[in-house]
Amino acid sequence: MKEFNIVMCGVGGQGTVLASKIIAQTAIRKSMNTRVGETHGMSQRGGTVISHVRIGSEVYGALIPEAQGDCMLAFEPVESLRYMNYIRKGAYIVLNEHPIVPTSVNAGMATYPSFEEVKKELQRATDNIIHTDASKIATETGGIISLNMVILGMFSQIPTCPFSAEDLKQSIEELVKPKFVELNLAAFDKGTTVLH
Amino acid sequence: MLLDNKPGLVELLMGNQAVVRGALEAGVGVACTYPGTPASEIGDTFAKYSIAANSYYWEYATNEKVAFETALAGSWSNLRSIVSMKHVGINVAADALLSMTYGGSVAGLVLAVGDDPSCFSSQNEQDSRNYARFGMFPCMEPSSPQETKDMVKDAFALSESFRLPVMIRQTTRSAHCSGNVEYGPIPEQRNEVVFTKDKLHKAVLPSHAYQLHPDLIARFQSLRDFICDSPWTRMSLKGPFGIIANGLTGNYVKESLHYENLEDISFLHLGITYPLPEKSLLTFIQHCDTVLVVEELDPITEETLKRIAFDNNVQVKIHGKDVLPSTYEFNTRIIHDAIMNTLPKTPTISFKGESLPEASKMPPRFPVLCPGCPHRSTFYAIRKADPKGIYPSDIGCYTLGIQPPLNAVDTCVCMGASIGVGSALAHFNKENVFATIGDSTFFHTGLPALVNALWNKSNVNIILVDNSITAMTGQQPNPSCGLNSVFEKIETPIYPEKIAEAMGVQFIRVINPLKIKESIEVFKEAAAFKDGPSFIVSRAPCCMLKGFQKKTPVSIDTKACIGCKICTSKFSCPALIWDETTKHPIVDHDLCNGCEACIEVCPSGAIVEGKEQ
Ligand SMILES: Cc1ncc(C[n+]2csc(CCOP(=O)(O)OP(=O)(O)O)c2C)c(N)n1
Ligand code: SF4
Repeated sequence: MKEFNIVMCGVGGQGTVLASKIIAQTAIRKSMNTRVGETHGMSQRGGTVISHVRIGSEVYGALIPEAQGDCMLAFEPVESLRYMNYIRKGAYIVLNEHPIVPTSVNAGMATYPSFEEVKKELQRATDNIIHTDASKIATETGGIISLNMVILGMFSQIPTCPFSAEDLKQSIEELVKPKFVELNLAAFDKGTTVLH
Repeated sequence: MLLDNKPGLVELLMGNQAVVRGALEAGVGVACTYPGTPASEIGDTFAKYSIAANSYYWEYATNEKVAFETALAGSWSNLRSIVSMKHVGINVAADALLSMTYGGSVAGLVLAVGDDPSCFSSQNEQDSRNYARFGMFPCMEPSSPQETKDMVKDAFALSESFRLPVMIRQTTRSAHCSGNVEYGPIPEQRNEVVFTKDKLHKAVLPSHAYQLHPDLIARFQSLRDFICDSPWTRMSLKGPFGIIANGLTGNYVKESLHYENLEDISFLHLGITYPLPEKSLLTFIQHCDTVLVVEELDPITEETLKRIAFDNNVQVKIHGKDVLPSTYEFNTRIIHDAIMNTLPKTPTISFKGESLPEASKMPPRFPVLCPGCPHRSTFYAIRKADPKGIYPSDIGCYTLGIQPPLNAVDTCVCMGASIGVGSALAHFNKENVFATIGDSTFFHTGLPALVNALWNKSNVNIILVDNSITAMTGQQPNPSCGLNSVFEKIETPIYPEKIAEAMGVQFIRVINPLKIKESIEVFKEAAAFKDGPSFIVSRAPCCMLKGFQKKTPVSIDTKACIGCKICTSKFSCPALIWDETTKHPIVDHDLCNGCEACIEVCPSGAIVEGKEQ
């Protein structure tokens, strides 16, 4: 595989950093080259965040060029829209339906679109959208903190995913604190069962 | 693990972690920092491994100047030393930095700096290479975490060869980029500690500096020649169109050439970006007829290249800032377009993705103060106490108080300026002035300004928003929070109120900002006090603090709620969400910390203590 680009987006504090690390760790174990470009600092206070995860034999910069994303893992609906320019036509999108309403909406300065509207916009780029209320699944399993695991579980099921669920689970075991491994794996497994 | 002495092991490291690994492989003996994004993880990684490694002296210093001086003392004591900071930190350290180069360093001295093109988390886009030019020392720029590690290791040796500090310049993009890093060996031995007395080189009195300046110029000249032969100067002479790029931006060039299948392009990839390898540059322009210079921010390479072309009468077309911006970080699309336009060539690939939805579908999501953040309550109370005041502020999480609806930050320039600017504003203006400053920022550069305010009798109201940690940059300890540089509890925190008392400040109070009504009264009292500065420590822990105990979320008594919206539209805690259908707020139980500050905000008593479920 020459290059596989994963756009991971959401809200600061949702766990995108660990999720991208788990994918990169899996790639390294498979002797691939990796680049993960991350947002730290100010935007982690509930701002919008994007991780660029690039794996394969030929990866260069830390940023996925626009229109070169092979897949998107969106932890929040509106955040998927903000970065939809990064994916290729027909790319797979794993989408959490659960909104985090920004304070701009709360303060009456903006409105939040309906999920149908979000989906319609994304469909301009691709029909391959797998969505569910992943936050709800996480809350019911390991707590909202395990949202990233549910998303990774969903990721493992897309047809173009370069890794098997077992590959990713091994990295979870390597990277997550031992006492949380079981809960995280349970959340991951729930994610794998989400149907198209 | 980062400390594993297993040459050949490949691990995923972030650029900043790779800096630490490189230093360990160079046998570093002293490491220090003042935190700042995007360089913070360098210090945090040194802190994390300091006890386990047991091979280097480590500290979080109170500011970058002190940090730099600590590293300088390390170098003078024959220990390889590294100091890390963000780009604007060099402004603070510059006084030491720009003079020590005259006498020079002893053991390798490395300055790891994080620049921030695009201002992801900074107040400006200054290009640190200018300091390398200003101080006449080398600057190295890695293009991947692997290179970062290898470069840092080389930087110590380079520093020793020329007795100059060596700057490792990462940008937000490289500092926070992770990738595969193959480890080399970590030496078992450290240098022996020796301080050799040598007044000429270690005390830059005017007469010494006068004598040393020619020596600095001479060292710099030989450095220039050395760089032409360095393996970090990577030149490939092919076709007549050439590209020169710095560290990270070279990736965008390689990627563009790769996507376009362009093989006949000459390429000079600079790892050492200051001073420039002038002989190599001359060879390059003599070979090419057109050259594109790819450098983020300032046109330093471009200007040098033009001088060399002029001095040597070389006929070559040099493009740079005529086709590329002097602002913001680059990416592959920007570089690809510039290459296609200057070659010129019709592109075979488009980096234009699907158009974004209209703005109304994407409500903006600014960073906000966390739910339960004590800063929100402090700002709310200040505005309640005096809505007409002037609010100079400073740099930290609390700068977020600038956003509506809080609107409690009017100015922010650099660390410490809240008190410096604020005490002077109080001299000139009739409004009451409320200067807010964080605990870490207070120790960084607020202290001299406090002395000044007191000495010059300003009526500024200084509000030290003390959340017991350096929060914005990722939870580093500071002198008042009761932890040392490796996060162990200490018996003797240095309390700001005691400092103010010892100085002779007349009005000193310590408040709990989560008690909003009491806070408002104290701020009113402070504003009425007109006999010099008032000093109020507004103290409650940051919600992200390790070990922070969340309490039961508040509840809404919907019968009592009058639908006034003050809690969501004026106080704006993200844990309270307005429900348009019921016209009452809803409490988000995942977000609410149970700080209960909002209880006092509600005019009708509709927000009440939550009950354990
Ligand atoms: C000269 C300089 N050094 C470092 C920084 C990075 N920086 C931004 S905010 C901050 C810490 C602020 O901590 P504190 O004052 O305790 O406020 P908090 O974030 O905890 O509210 C630092 C170090 C900077 N902007 N300028
Ligand atoms: S990290 Fe701490 S100081 Fe910063 S916004 Fe959150 S609670 Fe406030």
